[in-house]
Amino acid sequence: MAFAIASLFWAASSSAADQDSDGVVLYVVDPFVEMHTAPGRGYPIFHVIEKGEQVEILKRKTNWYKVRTPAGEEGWTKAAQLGRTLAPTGIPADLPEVSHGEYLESSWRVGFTAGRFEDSTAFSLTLGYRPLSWAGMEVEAGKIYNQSVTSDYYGANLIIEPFHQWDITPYALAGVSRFSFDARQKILLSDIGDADAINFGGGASYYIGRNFLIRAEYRVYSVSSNSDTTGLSEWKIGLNTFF
Amino acid sequence: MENRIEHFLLSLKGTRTGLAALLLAGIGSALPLKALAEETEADDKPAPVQVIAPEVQPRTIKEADIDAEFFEVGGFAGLLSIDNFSTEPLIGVSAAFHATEDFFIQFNYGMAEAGLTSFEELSGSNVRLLSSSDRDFNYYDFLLGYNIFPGEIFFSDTLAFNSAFYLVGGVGNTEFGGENNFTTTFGTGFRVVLLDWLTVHVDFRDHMFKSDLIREDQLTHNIELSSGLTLFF
Repeated sequence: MAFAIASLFWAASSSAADQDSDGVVLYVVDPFVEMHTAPGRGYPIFHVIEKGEQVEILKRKTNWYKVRTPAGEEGWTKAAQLGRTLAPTGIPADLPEVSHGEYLESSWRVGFTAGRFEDSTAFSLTLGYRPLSWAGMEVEAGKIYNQSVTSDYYGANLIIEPFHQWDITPYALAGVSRFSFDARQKILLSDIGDADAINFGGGASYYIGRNFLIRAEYRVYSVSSNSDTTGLSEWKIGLNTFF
Repeated sequence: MENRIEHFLLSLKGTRTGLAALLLAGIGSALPLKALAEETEADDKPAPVQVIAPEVQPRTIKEADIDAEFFEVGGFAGLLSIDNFSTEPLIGVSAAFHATEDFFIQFNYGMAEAGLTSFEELSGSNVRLLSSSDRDFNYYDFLLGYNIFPGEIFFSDTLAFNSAFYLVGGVGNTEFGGENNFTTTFGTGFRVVLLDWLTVHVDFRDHMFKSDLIREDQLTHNIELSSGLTLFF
């Protein structure tokens, strides 16, 4: 599967563009590039590509690239080493790298959360999209497990994240959600029906690894059902990956 | 010529006044030139605007389609030991996203059908704790995985496969006995990478949830032992 984020961008003059139609060929700038037997830091180095030699890129797995030398040796190199290579035109290759702060760019993220909704356990699945560096949106589907009732809930939130200069990024959110209840003991409680809510909250994001994001969040809900409004609170921790 | 110099200085004004002052001093010392210029002032029309054609070739940015393998989908089959009930066959599907060489996020959906409890077995065919549709055990979960021991296995003198021993943990939902239950799942697994795009894995998992089916508020441990194939794409 050819992925847009995983693809390699580089600038090439039109005359040089047609020479490598089947693979990406780059020239090594570092004194050498190490080739490992497999995509992982512990796997042995069995070959090195020297400065000035060319290397063909075959595929990518996490932050490793499978490369082939002109002699036909195939191995895996770290993205960081391959980042210092030149395209045949002499222009540095632009490898797609994900680094700290990258999640603030317009990107998609998926993740799940777990937490407490009042005294009940809850978890949810989230899908987020950030069109602006300081604002994004998120849709969420989850389940709340109460002793007598389980509830499915769906929501959409607007997220404002204006401060980016720290490792921990605070954010505020506002949204709407819908709860649909299901009684656990059908005898005691019959059909409870649905309820709508508006919610406000805030939290903080912390970036770990290459593209993981941990989010801790607190929300207050104003749930209205049967012309009755109740205030509820929820806290949760989420794990997200973005691409 | 003076016009041109003026024009030149005016265009600089505002942006680089310092430089303009420097130039002005230079012009002051070259005043005799001005007299020369005045002689030909009569036929000196404003010079035509000289268009400089920039020698810049448009660069074409080429985006290479490098095959990236982040996603993994597959199926698994095995045994599920349902607490208080029997051990039954299990089938399911899984999908994973490998974010780094160490971490991945996995989604699983599995199905099994519980058999009879010992009590039901002993009491004869007229005693049943659950209806047959309530015996369906369906679960889904979202797990975070960590490849704790990546390695290699040596199948023969010439054939070696990459492998990884990994830990998983996460949350999900189990539908059993007509109830949805919040489920915490922990487990370990072993993965062998047969080809760049094909892996085989063996998993051991504990699906834990609180259930009131047999005893009040009992934390049930439902042990899964399964194996499956996944494709990377």
